Amino acid sequence: MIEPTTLPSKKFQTRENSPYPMIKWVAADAVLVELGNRIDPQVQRRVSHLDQTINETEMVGLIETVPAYASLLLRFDPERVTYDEVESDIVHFLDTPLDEIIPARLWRIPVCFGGEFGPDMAFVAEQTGMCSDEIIHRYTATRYSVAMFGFLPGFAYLAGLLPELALPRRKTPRAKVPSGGIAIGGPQTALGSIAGPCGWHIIGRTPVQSFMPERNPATFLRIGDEIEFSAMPDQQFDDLLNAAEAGEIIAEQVA
Amino acid sequence: MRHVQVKSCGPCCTIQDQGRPGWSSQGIPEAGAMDLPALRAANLLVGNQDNAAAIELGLTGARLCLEGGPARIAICGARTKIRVNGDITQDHTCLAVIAGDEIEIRPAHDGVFAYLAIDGGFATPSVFDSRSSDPKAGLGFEGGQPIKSGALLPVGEPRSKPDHSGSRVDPTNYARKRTVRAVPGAQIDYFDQLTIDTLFNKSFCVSPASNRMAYRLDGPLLSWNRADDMVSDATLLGSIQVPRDGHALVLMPDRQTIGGYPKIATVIPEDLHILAQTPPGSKIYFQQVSLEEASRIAAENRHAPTNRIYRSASPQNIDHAALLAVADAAVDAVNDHTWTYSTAAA
Repeated sequence: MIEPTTLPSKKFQTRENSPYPMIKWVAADAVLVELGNRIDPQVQRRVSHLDQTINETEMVGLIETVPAYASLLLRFDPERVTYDEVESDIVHFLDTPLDEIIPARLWRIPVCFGGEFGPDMAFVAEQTGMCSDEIIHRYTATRYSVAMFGFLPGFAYLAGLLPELALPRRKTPRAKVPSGGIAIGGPQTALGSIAGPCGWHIIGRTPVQSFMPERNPATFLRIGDEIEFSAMPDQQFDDLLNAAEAGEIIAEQVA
Repeated sequence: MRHVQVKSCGPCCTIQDQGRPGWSSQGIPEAGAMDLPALRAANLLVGNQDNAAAIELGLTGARLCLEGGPARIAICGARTKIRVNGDITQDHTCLAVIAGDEIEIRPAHDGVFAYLAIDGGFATPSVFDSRSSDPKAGLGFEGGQPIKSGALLPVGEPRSKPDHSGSRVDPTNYARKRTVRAVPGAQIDYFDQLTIDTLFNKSFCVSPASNRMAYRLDGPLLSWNRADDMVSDATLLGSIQVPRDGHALVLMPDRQTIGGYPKIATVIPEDLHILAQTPPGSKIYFQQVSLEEASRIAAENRHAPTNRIYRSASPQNIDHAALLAVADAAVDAVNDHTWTYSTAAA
């Protein structure tokens, strides 16, 4: 076994006055690379770039990476690599130019907004002072990117929500919402996966199943993928849901 | 095929193996046994690999019936009273049972989680490389829901191994170890020194509002005074998260992969089972260790020998002559003693 020599907590200066990126060892086998401290599409792109670069390079001793909005957690087998090796690899990957990133895939996700599919639409309209058509228009005119999965398997946290659509979470979470909820919580928006509790405001529902354990791939979206939502007629929902539940990926890949 | 029929069981009875690490990036929780060393010990006793699936019993007991053929079973972890067909028998011991035998496991009296392993392991569905039940993600046996009375659990083919029934391991005395070690967390800078000292110098109580996702700590509040919420990031097994109300949560195997509360510290994996086995209402202490130290403990643990098993002699290997000699000597010793004693008394 290679013995770790040091466990440094170095800070790498990229720009004046910015402490990021920051490399923090958080366990004997885990290091957190922080690239910022806010939800910001630019920071998110750096995270997914770092994540992709690391996963395509077959870094020695890597067990897994867990991307989040502004950070990437890396877990290692300490028997196979030293802490210094891990750190110098990370620094190398951070220096890899951004333009080497593979072009993001773009998905179009059909959504039924409001009504029974989006029980919080009226509340969101009241809070934002916009009518539901305006909310749908603005929400669907934006392109989002998949920042991370969490909370539930395949629950996709998206970066890119317009600031005027941000609003505090529900005071009382709902105990169970159906699959595919399109939700706003604070400055975040998400594409829901399987049915589960939810403290966010549900403005719509997609028949798309982002996570199905028996499907291959179980999670068809990837970190860094881009998403556009399109409003669909309520009458088509059941047919599309049946197809999706049979294992079809009904989201349309545009690019 | 052999089965275990669940005649009755409590509400926190699930199938667990070592869980599904490596899928966190898709938001799939790790799950797995709350007390991995106990799971390993039970599997070892019945001749299984470490990762075989076992029944995890949380606080409450169960009545089970074996069907379809003989088996070796072992119950490790929290101390429990066990009866096979009404006869009291031992936990932490490899037991030989036959089809039709009824196994009764009483509620835990020291610790929280007991593990029943069976030779061949439970052959319930494997999803993402694990048979562990995960109710929230809907993965594992019966959609990951807790096992209910009447459930029929399939048992796999045993690896051919000598019969070790009667072998035993030493139980862990959880009540004696109530201190768990922890390293600084990713957001330790959210907390002032006073709060950090509180975590490491005061005692906490495991709240009854604890479960396989997180153990909630009652006791001193760990407040933080930053206006800004942190941006959610990846959680670790053992992360000590502090919501705004100051009641710390220690994240356990069914935790969410991403969390939005600052993490003051992380319980080291080698000590997490001690916390897991601390019943609600009992005290727990945290001891700060450096990353260097955590790393050293992890390395030692990897190279430490597995649980020591005390093997019983199998019947065909007994040296009858040697046994008779020992018995004779024992009888002589007793006779000598009795003789001396009677003579002295007279």
